[in-house]
Amino acid sequence: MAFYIKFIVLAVFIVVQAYVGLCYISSPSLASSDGSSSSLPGNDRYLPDVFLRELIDRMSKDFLEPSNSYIDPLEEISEPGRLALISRASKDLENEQLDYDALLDGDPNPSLRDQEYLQHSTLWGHQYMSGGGGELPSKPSGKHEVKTDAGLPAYCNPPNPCPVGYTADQGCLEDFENTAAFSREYQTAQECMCDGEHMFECTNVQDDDSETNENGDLESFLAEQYHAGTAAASASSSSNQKNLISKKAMISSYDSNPYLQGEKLPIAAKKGLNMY
Amino acid sequence: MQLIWGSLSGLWFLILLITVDELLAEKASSPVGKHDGVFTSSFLVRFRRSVDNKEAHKIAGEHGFENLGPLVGSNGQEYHFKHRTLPHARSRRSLPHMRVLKKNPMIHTAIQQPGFIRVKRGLRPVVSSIHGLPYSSTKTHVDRKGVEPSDPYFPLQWYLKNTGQNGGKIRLDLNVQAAWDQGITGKNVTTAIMDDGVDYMHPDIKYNYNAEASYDFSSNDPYPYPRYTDDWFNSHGTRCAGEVAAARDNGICGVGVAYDSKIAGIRMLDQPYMTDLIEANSMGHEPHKIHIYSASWGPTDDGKTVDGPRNATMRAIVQGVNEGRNGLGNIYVWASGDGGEEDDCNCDGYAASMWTISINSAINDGQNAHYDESCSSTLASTFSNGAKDPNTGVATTDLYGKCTTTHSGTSAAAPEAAGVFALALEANPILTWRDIQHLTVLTSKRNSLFDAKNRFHWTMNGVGLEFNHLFGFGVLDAGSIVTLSKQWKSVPPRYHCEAGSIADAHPIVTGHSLFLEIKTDSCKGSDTEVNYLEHVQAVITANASRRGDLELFLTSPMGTRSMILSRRGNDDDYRDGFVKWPFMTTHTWGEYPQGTWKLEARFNSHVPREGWLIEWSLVLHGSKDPPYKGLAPITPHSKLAIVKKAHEDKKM
Repeated sequence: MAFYIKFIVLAVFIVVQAYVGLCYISSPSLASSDGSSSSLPGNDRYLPDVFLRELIDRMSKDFLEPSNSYIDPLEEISEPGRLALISRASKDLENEQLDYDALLDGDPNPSLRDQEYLQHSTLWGHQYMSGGGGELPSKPSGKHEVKTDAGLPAYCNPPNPCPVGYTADQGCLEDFENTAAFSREYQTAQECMCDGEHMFECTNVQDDDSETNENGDLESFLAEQYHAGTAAASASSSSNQKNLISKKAMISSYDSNPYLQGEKLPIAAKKGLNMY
Repeated sequence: MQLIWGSLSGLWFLILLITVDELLAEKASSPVGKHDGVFTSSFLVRFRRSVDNKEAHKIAGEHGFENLGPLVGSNGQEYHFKHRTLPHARSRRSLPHMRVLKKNPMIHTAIQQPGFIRVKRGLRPVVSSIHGLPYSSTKTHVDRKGVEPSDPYFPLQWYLKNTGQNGGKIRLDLNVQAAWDQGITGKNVTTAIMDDGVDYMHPDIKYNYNAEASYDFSSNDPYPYPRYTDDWFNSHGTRCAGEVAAARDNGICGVGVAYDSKIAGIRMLDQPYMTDLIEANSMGHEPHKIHIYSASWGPTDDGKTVDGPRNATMRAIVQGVNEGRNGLGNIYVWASGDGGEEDDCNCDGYAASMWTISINSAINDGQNAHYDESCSSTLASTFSNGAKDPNTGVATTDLYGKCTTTHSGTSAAAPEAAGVFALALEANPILTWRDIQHLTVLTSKRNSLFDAKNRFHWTMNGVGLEFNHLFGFGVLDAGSIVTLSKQWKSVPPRYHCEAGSIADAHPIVTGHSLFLEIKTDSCKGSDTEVNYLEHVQAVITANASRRGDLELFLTSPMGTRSMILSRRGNDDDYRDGFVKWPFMTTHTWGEYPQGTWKLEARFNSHVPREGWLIEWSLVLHGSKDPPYKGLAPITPHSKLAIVKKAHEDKKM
């Protein structure tokens, strides 16, 4: 038994290390402890890129359609679409649009667009890693939960305070306080995808309410610490490092991998239905 | 229980790790995955005829879609549909969904939109935000001529008035006081900040906020208030907004370049994936209410990306330029990029476009900033951070009513330019999009801008205009642009001349430059005759065993040499090359295009490389008639006087 526990502990430790390392590569932004993020050029986004696609692939598996109805993009197709960049606004664009349509009409393989996209696939940075895709509440809401991949949620919606001269009749929020705390509270009440890249931690809202609150408190505590820290002293790289590790370690201590949780609500539940 | 939980999560991590290993192995064996990419739940739907929004709604509903509205400029033929249950992101297209739509006899095509990423420019480590003061004062109308703003951060805004603070160079600034002294402060001009939202409740912004021109595309509502994150990541738009239009003399933060102008917020960067539709709708949003669009984002500045606007976005820009502002054309201001010397903004299709004004940045002593990405399509420069002293960032408004002194990157430069253009548009509201570019060329100043590494020097083009590869025609001068705007006569019509092309492939080898020549009369005698240049595009198809080592130079008949592609050390592409990519230069502005154009292609590398120049076509844009004919230069040494004289001396 002792051996077993040791093994588990070791495995968890190694894996957490690897995970931290992974996150470090994938979200360089977390390395800055200063209220904003760096988008340094030349970061290696290769790894999460691969990771991203494969994850989405896997989540698509139990979707209703047979997988052979997908078409893989072809690789070696030239790109007449680029011509559109040369002036001649309407004329060229119209031609180009026709090409684009013809592809889907004649040949059902949408390869031209894919090629263009393919070419830039290195763009696929750490967004997915950051998103924490499956981060969904499994709190019983009386709704029937469908087991599909149809639930990658959007980020939370920010509050919509009424601009000068607007009233609540126009769909905005009159009772509003322009503070970070207000927005945080407002967004915490939503069921949405946690933005792991820019939130210090992405807690799962569990069935257990007390845990939720605990996490919430911890989160706001962290946020306060963070802003207090940055206001007080200029950022040094060593403190960045410390910050990063503590954040990531925190996550791994009580979060299971959000991608593998599975149960997701349909998008419609998250889109546009949020409160006013 | 604890143990089980621990072991379970341990297992998940193991699985995760294995997955990653597997993937790495897979990726290593095939350099480009066979289905790279992510598709969103958005569809571009094209109808066989125009339909109204109601009809589109009905059709969308029948098939389980949600209609998000028509596309700009499609005359009701194209709509943006979103599927209700498709995931936001998946790695393959869903053909069944496209088929369902296409079965409808009304629908011509339906295309699922790929997602791609756009990054904010210049979000770099900053120091600390400083709390703003409570809003107490109200606006008063007094004669402010020659009087400096009393805002507490104004002394920190060295880019507005450089008194040598923090080791800066005295008078190296935007010269805004000279514009303000003429009573020009941006009245009745709206600048849209296309970004991650705007804190329009900020006391320094709220009265200059144009709510009816604003929109939130990230959460599909009219209120682009930023989304909270723990690291306050979404402060970018608010910071940019304050640079343009923060109010004056209200005791809060600093002051905007055009402090009586209006800001519209377009929140469009803050969702897991960007789509063509979001970009297109943002850039075409309220084109008659919005005069200037400021964008401080673009393709990743990693030095190996070649990317630009996609179909719908490209069309929205073209439409904005052709029809926006009731036919005068919208002004699109673009941050040239933060990729540093390893990147080239001609590989960023947004910044390199003729329809955007791409703006680079200089720091407070006149050097280029270390992150500056240079290219021949840059028209002019403004200021941003980069000096050793961290207090030399851009002071502006920040999220939640606060202020910052550390806004940074070329991101901070683009809104300053937008503010200067807002001043020009107040001075002369009938300026077209091309007038603004001509004015920029003629009034930007060399001042004391210089290349810290002594690579790029100021050079005179064929008609006496000084340019620098890093800074374009120099730093914007608000006083001069306002003065010249007031007397401006709109430039004559613009034509596009396809000057020639070479379509047989030529090999490029290390150690030898490949020279190609196109001799042109620039469409003389035809209805697209161009005699006075504006933009020049070299549309090039080429490949190389290492794309990043390829350099391209274009030399005009008047001898002006533009580096249209610089070495990009990180670009290790060996497959795609460039396919009909339009490399643009502004350096030949005002020159006569007739004669022989030279293209030089070479490898900048010690390692042997090989490649092919497969196609080169030369496209010239400009006017048939002299552009400044009706203008009387105020001083004989102004750039206008010099170019005008050059044009008059040359009898066409």
